[in-house]
Amino acid sequence: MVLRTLKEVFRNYRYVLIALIFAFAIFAFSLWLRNLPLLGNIISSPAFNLLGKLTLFVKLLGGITTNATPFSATLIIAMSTLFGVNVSLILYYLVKRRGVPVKEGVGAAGALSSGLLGVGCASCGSFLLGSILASFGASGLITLLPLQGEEFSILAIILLGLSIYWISKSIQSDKVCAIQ
Amino acid sequence: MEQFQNFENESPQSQTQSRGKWLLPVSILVAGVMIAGAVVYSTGRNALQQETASSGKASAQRESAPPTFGSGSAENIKPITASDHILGNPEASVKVVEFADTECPFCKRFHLTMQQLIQEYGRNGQVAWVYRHFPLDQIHSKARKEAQATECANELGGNAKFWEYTDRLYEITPSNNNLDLSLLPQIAKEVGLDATKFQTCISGDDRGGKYADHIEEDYQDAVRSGGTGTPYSVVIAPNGQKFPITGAQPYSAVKQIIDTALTLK
Repeated sequence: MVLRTLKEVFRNYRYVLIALIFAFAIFAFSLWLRNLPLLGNIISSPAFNLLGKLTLFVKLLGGITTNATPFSATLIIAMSTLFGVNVSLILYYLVKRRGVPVKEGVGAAGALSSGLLGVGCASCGSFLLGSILASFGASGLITLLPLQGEEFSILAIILLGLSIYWISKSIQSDKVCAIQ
Repeated sequence: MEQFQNFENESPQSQTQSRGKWLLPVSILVAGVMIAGAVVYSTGRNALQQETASSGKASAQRESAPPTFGSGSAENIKPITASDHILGNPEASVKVVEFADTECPFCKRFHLTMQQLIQEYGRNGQVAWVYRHFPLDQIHSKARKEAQATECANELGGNAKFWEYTDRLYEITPSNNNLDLSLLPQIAKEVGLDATKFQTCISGDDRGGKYADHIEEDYQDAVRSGGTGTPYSVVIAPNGQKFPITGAQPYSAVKQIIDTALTLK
């Protein structure tokens, strides 16, 4: 069912492009997230011309190889890809069926929030999760998690998978007449 | 009537096509807004922190209030003094202050990046590397003891031995709190330090023994300067502008920041 839906949706190149755009947006955001103050400085600094700013933004994406373990990198890529696919399916549903897929949308949003909590460096302190826990004076809690926060990225992948399954089901079920 | 029925039949399809036409540009826009929003939010927050830091009130707060993790700014970084561990020309135009934890695998990787940068820029005195401690006790309980060991190397052999010891420590440690602490005196011997004196120096509690205050001061400086994890580096340009870098970013990215910083006279 999921495969059939994916074939149906991605037959249209526009949905492929949308999935790629959103997957890239989440991928880039995940890598830039820990360096937002630096990106802010680069944007506001006249010392970098436009090309210099763009080049540096692209170079920082190389952090996927230098600043992430293979496991973390896999989680980031999987989460970004699944989120891109999810957005495409939700938009396809919105356009073709003209209804709002609430459950699937909430699932995807929850997954994204959870995923971004887990983004960071497991062995060197997670960014968002660490800061949030610290603001409650509970930064020590992170040590209780066996993967030190990456559990949230795994949860995100599970939620995104579920969301894709639900939306595929909704897209396919709209094609048959329910027995009253 | 027939015309009306045709209109009814075609209308939803044309509406769908009309919506489909806007789908791609709107998606690009939304994705762009998502990223831009995050960056703009951060820029504003950072600018606000810089503004606050420049006021007298903030500098008074810096002395008294304990720093909150995740709320610091690079502008608050402690000035570089002769008591710092500096590799390269202390009068270099650009200084890279690195806050590191010897048990962090990414600090180990970034150590090599910094060595490469010093090879390139250190020889002509353009860039200096300043090393400060940022032991993340909650995940690396051995890091503070290792920081103490590097300070002992400094005490017994001066700045050169500090760097030699630190280089060797990063080479040997498997990271993630897996270094056998009994190797610390062995490293001291390897780099030519007096093993007995070194053993005496590293005795004491796990909070850093005789260097506990110094290590803690570096740690608090890292947090005040915006450090939320390791490695955390601040590139300081000749005009005082600061570029905070979180994580073991690629050599090419750090090099571009340094090249740009060198132009800021």
